[in-house]
Amino acid sequence: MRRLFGSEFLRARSRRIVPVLIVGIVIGTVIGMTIGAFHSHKPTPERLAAAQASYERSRTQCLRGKFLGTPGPPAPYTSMEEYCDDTVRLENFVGSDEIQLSQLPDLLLGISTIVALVGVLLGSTLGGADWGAGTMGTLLTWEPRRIRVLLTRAAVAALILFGITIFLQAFVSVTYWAAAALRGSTQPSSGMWRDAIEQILRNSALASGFAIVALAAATLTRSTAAAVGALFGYLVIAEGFLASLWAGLRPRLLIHAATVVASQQPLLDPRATATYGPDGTLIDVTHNGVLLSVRGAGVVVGIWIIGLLGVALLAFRQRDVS
Amino acid sequence: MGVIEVEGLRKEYRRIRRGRTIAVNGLDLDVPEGGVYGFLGPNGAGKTTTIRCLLGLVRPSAGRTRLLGAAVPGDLAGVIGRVGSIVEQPALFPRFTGRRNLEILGRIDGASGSEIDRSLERVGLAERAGDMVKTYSLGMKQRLGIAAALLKDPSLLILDEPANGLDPAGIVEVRELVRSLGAEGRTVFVSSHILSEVQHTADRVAILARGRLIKAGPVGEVLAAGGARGLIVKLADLESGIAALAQAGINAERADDVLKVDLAPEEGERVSRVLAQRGLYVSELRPDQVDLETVFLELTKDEGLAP
Repeated sequence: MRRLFGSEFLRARSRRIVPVLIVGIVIGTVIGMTIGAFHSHKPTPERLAAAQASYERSRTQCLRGKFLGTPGPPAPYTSMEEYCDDTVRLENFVGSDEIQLSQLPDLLLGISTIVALVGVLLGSTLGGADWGAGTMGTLLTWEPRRIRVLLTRAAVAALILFGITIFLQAFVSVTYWAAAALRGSTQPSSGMWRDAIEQILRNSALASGFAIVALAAATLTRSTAAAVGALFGYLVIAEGFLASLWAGLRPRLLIHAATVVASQQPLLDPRATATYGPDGTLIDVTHNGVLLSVRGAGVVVGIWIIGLLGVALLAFRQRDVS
Repeated sequence: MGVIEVEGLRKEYRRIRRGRTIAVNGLDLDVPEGGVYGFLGPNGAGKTTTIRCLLGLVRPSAGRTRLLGAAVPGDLAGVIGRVGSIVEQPALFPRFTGRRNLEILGRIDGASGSEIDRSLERVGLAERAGDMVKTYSLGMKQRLGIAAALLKDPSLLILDEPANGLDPAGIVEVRELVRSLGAEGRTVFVSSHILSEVQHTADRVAILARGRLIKAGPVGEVLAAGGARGLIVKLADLESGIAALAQAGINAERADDVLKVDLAPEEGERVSRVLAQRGLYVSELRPDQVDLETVFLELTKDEGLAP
């Protein structure tokens, strides 16, 4: 098993698309950050101090429940601290034309789709390359235990994607920090670094999961292009169509579940009840319930990954290899 | 016990448009240990399908196969380390170097760098090992495939059409390599549709047509089954030779610049004596050897199976 793992790792590492994709994203990041830094203006210390004071004042008010009109936190928050961390943010007081390091977790959440796409792309190519080159037969004349081959391959794809996406997100974070240091604000908000690291780990775990899904699709279709096409067609078009037709199906769909995992925001029932004050101002919006919790979303994503891999294993075990 | 045992192997493909195709139809085969075994038949005879079944790539519809005593596919993993193979053209990653292709495969079996070097040297690819496979000629790809198969130091080599697409020099190279591998005590199971090619390398052959075994055994035995035997005589005056032999009651006919005499090879002395008595001296006298192609055509002529 260790030897097969080594062979699969070497094969994956040798694929040209891996360094090409890494270099492409690195160059794209540098260009993007340079443009962002060019348009950003470092705030003066006086402005930063004023923003910090405003932020702390608003947060204190939030913790006292002044924004809600009710003593407890709204669903799905479990404490006022959690609610206020999410609602009152330093960046909202500093200004919008400068790069703020405190927005790093949001930036990382924003690129989670790109990170997942990297997983789909590399997973497809790692799963489909052997079929395209006709080398699957050659491989099986060295290791005929097909289940072992596919599981090893899935493990290698997941590990490689995890490593690559950790590196790329770390690079994005470092360049963002550099841009903020040069042309913006490096003032961190409460728990910013912890949030950023957790977001990086969630994104990378999702990229690994999507890589396994794509690898399974490539094994079933026996083609990289067909796998990418099938996944794009299903995830973007079919799931969008299904979600709009049957709202109750949303918690079972991969994209929705993955979004909940990435954002750590539960999927709420869109039917909501609004509460207005005596003067007609909106005080609160109460959702009727949570359609999919964060933990539940993790389970749904896991079922998708294991289910698709299981189908791919069955097909790979049964079908002839020419 | 043979190194390859096949009993009643049948493989049927069902396709929506083309319906049912029987690629192998009740094949029995027993390949003994050591030497070169030729597996012959025209294109579409079922050779490659049989090899795919042997290597566990294709699931048979019926029948049993054993490789080095292990049932396929159940116990194949236990013996695959002693089986080197090429199925059709060697399938390799075109954008990887020759060496990298071997490294990827070799890691599965724990092959060291020096073993990879030896394999590459043996097939004459050491100097081009660092080049991408897409820059290789077909012959070089075949040789790289053989190098990969040799990495396992196999006791059984299964080569499917190893001379396919090679130029004459490449064919000779592969022929020499197959011979030397067989001479080392390995069993080389080599399939081909070029019957004359296998005749030069194989000790035993099996002839396959339309998925069925037509004939199997040592090459000489199979050739003998062809029946068409006689003597070839070369002399200066062919017309006089025909007349002299006719007077002695021997049938002969002209074939290009030689005579084909309708007598068994062991009666060469009689032919020589008859001609010498008429003052006609032979410059060459040899048995009219039947080639495998002729034998194959004869064996299959009633069934319309000839290539």
